[in-house]
Amino acid sequence: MTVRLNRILPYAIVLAIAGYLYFVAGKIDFAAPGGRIGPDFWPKAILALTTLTCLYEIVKNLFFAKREGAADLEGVLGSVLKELPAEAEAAEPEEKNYPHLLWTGIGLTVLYVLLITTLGFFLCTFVFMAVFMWVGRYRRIGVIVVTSLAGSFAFMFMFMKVVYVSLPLGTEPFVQLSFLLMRLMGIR
Amino acid sequence: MIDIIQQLGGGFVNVFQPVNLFALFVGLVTGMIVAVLPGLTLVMGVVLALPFTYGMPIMPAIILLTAMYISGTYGGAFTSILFRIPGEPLDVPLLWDGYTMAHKGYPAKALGWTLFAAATGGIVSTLAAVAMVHPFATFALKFDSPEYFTIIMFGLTSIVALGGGSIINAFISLFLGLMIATVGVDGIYGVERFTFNVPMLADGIEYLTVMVGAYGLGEVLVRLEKGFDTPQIATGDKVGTEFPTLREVWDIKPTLARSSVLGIIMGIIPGAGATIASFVSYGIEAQYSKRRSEMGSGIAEGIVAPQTASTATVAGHMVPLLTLGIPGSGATAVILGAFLLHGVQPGPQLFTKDPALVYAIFASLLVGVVGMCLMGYFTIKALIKVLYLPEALTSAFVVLFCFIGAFSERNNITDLWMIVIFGIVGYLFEKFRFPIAPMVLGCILGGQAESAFMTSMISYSNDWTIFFTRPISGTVMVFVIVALTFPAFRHVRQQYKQRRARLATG
Repeated sequence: MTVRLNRILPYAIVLAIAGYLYFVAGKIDFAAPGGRIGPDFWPKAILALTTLTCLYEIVKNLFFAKREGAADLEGVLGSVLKELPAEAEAAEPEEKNYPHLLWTGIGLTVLYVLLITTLGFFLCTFVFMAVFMWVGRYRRIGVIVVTSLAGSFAFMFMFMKVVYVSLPLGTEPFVQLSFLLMRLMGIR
Repeated sequence: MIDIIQQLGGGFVNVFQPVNLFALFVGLVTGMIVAVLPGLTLVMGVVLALPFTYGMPIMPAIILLTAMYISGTYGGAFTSILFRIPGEPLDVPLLWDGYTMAHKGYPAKALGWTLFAAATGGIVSTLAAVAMVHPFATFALKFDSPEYFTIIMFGLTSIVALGGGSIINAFISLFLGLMIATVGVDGIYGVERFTFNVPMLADGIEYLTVMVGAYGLGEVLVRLEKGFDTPQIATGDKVGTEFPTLREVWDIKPTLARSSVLGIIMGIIPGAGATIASFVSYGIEAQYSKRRSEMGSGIAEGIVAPQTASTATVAGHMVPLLTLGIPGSGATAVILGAFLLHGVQPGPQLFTKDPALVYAIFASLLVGVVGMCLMGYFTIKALIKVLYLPEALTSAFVVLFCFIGAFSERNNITDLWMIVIFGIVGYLFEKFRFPIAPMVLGCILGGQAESAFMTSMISYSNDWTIFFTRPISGTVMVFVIVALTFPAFRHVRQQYKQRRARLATG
């Protein structure tokens, strides 16, 4: 039973979201003129299809699936993994998972977005790149520092000087570093 | 015919003028760089280049922009195949077979097929556009919103074939993409939908953030969870481009023919651009090619079909642009803007007023295709070397490209949050075996699909049968139905066969 519940979990989540969005779509306050269909028609149609699809999968898994797994209605393409030759799959070493690295990586990206307006693009990018490489189990400190520094500098130059993208400069006192670098690069 | 050849010859003479040749070179290089950089879209690149053309005469200005456009349809293939980051939406189908072929240890071969496909698509379509410019433009004039809607529907349903393990999962992914496309102010009535009082959402969710987040950051997160111990994909393979042999080319001639024709047709139809051509072409191969059961496992057809079709659309787009003044895509809309800024209105009269310009553009496309292939050949060599870099280093750069690419589009931090959100969504999709591609396709084509559907409904008094009763849309709808039912039919047949085999073995 637990296996089946795990299997239907993603569909149940999507179903709940679709149900909520259908409710929200129902509250779109607009009367289309002259019997025309309104702006809620298209999203409601998609949400109805989503609901039906999820219900089909949930019912199938709950009531008609065998324990080892229901036979999925497959596309013409199989998934890449399924279509790998048996010998190729066997040759691949067993993959280890490092959930703590994943969570740290997600945390880093969130922090990057949170801090970029405060630290400014250059400093925030330098720190992010260096820590990300370290988290990614690369341990050559010299390479990490030089690459992060050069990368941040190159990105800043390319996007601010060449492509004219206004990257975040940061707030005081970090903005002074951005101004200094901009002067060095000849960016006005 | 002789007249056309003479005009085209004159076009070549113009292209080889130093100023025009320099503009072509700059355009090719810039287009390739823009396309390689994930997040920095080709259209955005052309827009950014537009101000530089103000001071130029019209010929080098248009040559520069069209060169950017054509090389942009090719350059994005590098990051798709080598890093699984589509430089442009049109490069997404290259992930399925191009990246897989590279992942299996043949990046040089995958890139060789891409180069060959781009060259074929570019040259064949340009020659076809020159020869058939008038009849095709006349035909495209007959298209109305029902035809656009059914063609987009065909593009969307082709995703069913790309759903990987489960059609249901592919459908859910597609519906999520279509829903994402509805966020913001709707195009018909100007009503806000699903904005939840967040001002930034009123502008909608950029498909770019969905695409770059789900494919770029999502993939990095998947690899990070595995400790970045993915085997280097170029290990053991010689560095460089490995061109297909004549025998290999001969074997896929039906794919080349189908994709070239499809690319030209899709190019001529305004609105149905390189992205749709790329997806539809892949979908057609997935359903009808000899090796359809192997699509997605890293075969040449899966690379050649989308690349040939997408590059072939460029010359196709030039037909409605030059003969009718109708841009067929975002990039050609910018090129139209360049024409108007120089005081030239494209249209039938352009062929009588300034035929030299028209044929110089077509000649520049032909020269540009050759030039971009030469550049691609040498750039690939340099790019493949990047694969030997430690994965943690390259991944850090990939994440940065994702962030900056998304930020460049609107200069807004909200787009960075979108990247993070869709990066996590991409990771979860991988984890629960939901294909990302349908969501991305739904997101890209959703707005166009809704617009064409709503316009049709308004124009034809809510009569949905219009999609079936008009000759062209009705024909396309038949293709849609076939595309939808064929995988189900195939599945039922397979199940039946398996059941019989089990019964036979007791």
